[in-house]
Amino acid sequence: MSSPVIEVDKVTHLFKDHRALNGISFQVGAGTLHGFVGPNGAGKTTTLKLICTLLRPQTGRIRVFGMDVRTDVKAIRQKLGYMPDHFSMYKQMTVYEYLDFFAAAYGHVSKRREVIVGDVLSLTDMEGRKDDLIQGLSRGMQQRVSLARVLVNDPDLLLLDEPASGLDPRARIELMDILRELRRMGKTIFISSHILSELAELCDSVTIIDRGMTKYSGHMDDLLYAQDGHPVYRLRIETDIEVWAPRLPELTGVATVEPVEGKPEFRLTADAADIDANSMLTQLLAMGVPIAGFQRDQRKLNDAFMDLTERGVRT
Amino acid sequence: MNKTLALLVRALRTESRDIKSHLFRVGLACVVVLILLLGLSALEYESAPGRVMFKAMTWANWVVVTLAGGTFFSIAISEETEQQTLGLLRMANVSPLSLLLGKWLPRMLTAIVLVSIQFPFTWLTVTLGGVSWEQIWSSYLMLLAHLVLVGNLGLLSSVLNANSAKACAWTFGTMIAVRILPAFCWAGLTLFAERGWLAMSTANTFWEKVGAPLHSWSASGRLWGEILSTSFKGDAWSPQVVSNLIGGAVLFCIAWLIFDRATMRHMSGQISSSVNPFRILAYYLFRAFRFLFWLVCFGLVRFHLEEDPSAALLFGPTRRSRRVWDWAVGWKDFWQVSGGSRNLWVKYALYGFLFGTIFYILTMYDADTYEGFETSCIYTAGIIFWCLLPLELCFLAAKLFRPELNDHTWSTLLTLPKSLPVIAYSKLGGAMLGMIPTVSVLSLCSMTFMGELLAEIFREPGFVLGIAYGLTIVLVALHLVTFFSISVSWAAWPIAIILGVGVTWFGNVLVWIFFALGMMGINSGGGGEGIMYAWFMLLAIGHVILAGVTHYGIGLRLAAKGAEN
Repeated sequence: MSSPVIEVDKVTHLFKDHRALNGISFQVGAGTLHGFVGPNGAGKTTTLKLICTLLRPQTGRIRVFGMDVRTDVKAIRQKLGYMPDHFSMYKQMTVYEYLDFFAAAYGHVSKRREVIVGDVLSLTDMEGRKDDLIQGLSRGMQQRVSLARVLVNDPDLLLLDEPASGLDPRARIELMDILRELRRMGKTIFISSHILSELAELCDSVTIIDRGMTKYSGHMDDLLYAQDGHPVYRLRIETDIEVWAPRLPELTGVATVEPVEGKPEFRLTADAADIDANSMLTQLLAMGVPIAGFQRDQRKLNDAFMDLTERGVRT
Repeated sequence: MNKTLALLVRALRTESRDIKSHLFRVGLACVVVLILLLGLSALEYESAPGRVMFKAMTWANWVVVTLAGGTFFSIAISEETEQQTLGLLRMANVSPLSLLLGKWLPRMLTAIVLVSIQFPFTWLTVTLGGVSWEQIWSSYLMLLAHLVLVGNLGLLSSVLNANSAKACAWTFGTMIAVRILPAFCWAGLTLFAERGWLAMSTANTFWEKVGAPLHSWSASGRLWGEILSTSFKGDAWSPQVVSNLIGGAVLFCIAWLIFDRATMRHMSGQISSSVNPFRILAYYLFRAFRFLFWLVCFGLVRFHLEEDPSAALLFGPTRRSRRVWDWAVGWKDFWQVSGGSRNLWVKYALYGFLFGTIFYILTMYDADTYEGFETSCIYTAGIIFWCLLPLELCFLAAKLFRPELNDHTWSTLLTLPKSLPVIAYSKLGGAMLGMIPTVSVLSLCSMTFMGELLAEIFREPGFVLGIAYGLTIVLVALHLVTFFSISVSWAAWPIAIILGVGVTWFGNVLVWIFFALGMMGINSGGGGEGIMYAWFMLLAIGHVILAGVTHYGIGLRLAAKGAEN
């Protein structure tokens, strides 16, 4: 990983006697779109508030762009944009006033603001609604304005807390398109969401937390294509399945062989992380297995999430 | 009936779990204890100490009942609208009547229990002497009728307004308007009669038929008059009791009848861009009434159409965007809290109207123009200094941070690369720009007598201490109003103003009572003036320290709110 934009190291945070975070650690690389997933009450929003300097870490260390969130508050705020999980807007303002206000609050002079606000309106496709009162906008439109607000300072890091919650499918797809565009522009995006299917498609890396602890943090591919860090392959056999089934464990580098119920298929788990598809396939061909299909087995993020997190509501 | 009972049980359970209601009862107990202290101290110099004690208790009860009507009852329905639970209750087939009764009954019970637990103390007043049992029954019946009236007025406001703060403002505003409007109208009619435009008998008839009955039908009118006098021989079922009970019932019925129509509009929360002529007419009537309401009650007019959500009904959901100043936070609060430049001109117009009216009345009574001008300046400055300026400061303090917390915008504002004090003081600065008309008119009007006043002040050192003491009281009150506005969750700004001003006033009364009791213990030798000066200084220093502590507390609370909001 290139030098990390966010480094969270053994952070614990208590609200009175409730332990919101319990030694959480992870890193987010520059220019990546990093998903942040966890059940309700896992500590996602607390983590986001710590990163964006609204809360101060009680123990552990958080660095953003190499700066400590305890001491370099202003410098960090200058470089990040935070979008909370609720609508926080001045609803009596028009869209243009709202964005112009934040651009001015970030210290941009009048002429520069015109350009900035025009750009973010264009990026979020809100040019036609710039004189609309925010209170009259739909939820999806308000979410776009919220995102536009985050962008007025041209931050290098975007912290988005549940940006797609409550949006209709079209608004969600459009939002994801905007996020892809922002990643293409080189922004680092840290996104907390419950919509796992979209995160799996969108994110380069992911952190899964539960009960204030990190359950997984790393590349999305490693999570979806591997089991305990080892690659898993799916083999489909054309004929004589009962003949070939006992011979499959003989393959070099295979730790386990599991038949897939009701199908002429097997899940082959490698015994090391470096066993690749080519070596496995070469061996199968050499054995003369009648292969109907062979591919890397991809889990759904939902399954990974369910495997990693505990059942029940956090107390 | 079951649904009403279910709501009643829910409300009583919630109330029993809420620490604030217990604290309120403790506060009232403190007042009663203070009144007992007063009664004890009155033993030495008063032939009927029980009457002193009873008078204070009845006034305290009247204040509690009036505050309960203006706040506790005024949020009955609007709190459900704000929490978006009203629709759920209606979907559960809870009828408007059940809902109103279910919200009204627990409040009524709580208020009655609160007042009736003081009964043993009331008994004591009879023992101490100076109060008859007839007076006690009449007073409690008067308070009950007053509670029914203001409670139902609050309930009606709560049905009409989706926002708790607005509902409270409407209840208090109506109560004040009903008390002072007849006097204003009578004064106007007398004025016209003196100019010969009207027969004097018309003005007198108006007072006899409208003003005087309204005065005698009000609980405060009876408190000022017969009920606490030594010669009370009245009937418990006075016109005040009957009229208040009937008035309360009528207001309840109105709330019931309009319930669906009013609350459906709140629940839908939609903005229509269609223009209906009846709606336009209703809109302008509403604005005209509101204009008069603010003019009479507060001397302030919120006339900024763009800031007003109801304006969208007429003009649709768009408008021309304003340019933001480089001082962005100040700009925002100049518009959001003070109402912006339009409000400045409206305030100037109002102050001009106030000055013009006073000048006109004075010159009409044979004063020459210069003398009339000078006296008008003094009166205008007096009204602004003693009424409008404190009110405006209280509103400003209460509304400075509350909208940010309500709209969840505070945390977003705190992510700006500025420190919390910079953001908070920028907000204050922007909001204070709205006070330019008040301060400038006050300064202009004071110019005619300021030199004389300053000379008088510096001649007498006690004046300086008195002014310092007064200013520090204002400082503490404003800090407390701000603190309460970010601490309480419902009807925040009216409650904050009442609590902030109330705590400051009550605290000072308490301190002065102890001081007076202490002074009574000291032999009346010389040096009384010196002790008084030292006491003023001590109080002023105490106020500054208290304001400092509250200031720090506000900062801590704002930081915490940023993280939780």
